[in-house]
Amino acid sequence: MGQLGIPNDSQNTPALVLNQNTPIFCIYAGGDQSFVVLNSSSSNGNLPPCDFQKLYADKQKQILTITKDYVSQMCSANEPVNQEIMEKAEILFASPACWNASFLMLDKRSGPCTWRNIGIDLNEVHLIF
Amino acid sequence: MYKLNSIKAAGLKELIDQLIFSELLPKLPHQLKHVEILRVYVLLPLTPTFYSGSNSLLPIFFADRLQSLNSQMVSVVTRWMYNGPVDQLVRLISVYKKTILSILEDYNQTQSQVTIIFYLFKAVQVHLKKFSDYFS
Repeated sequence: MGQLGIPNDSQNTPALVLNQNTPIFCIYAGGDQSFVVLNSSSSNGNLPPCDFQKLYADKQKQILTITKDYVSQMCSANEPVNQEIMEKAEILFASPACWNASFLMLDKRSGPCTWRNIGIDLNEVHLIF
Repeated sequence: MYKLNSIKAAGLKELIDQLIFSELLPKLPHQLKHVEILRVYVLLPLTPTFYSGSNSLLPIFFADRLQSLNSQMVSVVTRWMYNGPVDQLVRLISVYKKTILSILEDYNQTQSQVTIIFYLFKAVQVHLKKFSDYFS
């Protein structure tokens, strides 16, 4: 926590990272680990930073989630089931990450996920399950 | 409105049941990185695979996974469940009532099997004694 860019130290509060002359390509912020990917290669000097706001718009780059559309596709499928639906099910229903990313309340007023607030719409879950 | 339990294709339904039991259940997170990883513990019991009773081992293994979490994490999951819609909580209680009954029935059955085996063994012992008495 908080020590990203401070390799020889560990602290629980944000700190200023000094001597950072190399362009940053992207930042991965996870639950317990975070990474900064630097672009130190001279051949890639003009490589623009990775903008996840743009990537977010690309459905292919997003984590798979259980959605109304996908459940309706599965419900309408007849035997033999389309291979694409089967492959998607194999990823979606086997991965806790996909489950945890599903049914999120997109309304920012609902607040972040905390021990008080699950942050998912259980009424929508009820409609689909 | 389409629901998971209205999937017509038997193969797909079976695949989902199998994935939940064999793939998802063993991978349920048990080390706290952030509370959001615990959402799956609330979602899983809401699936038709869980509450339909088609796989009686699923609620047992799920409970086992839940018990492997530390007490703080369990309290987060139970708080979320408790604050969710009442019918979901009632359904969960109903699943576990059925599971307990099923375990008790199995236990009684096992007990009666043990009793039968015990009497068979006694009968064999008596016959063996008769044989040994006869040949001595």
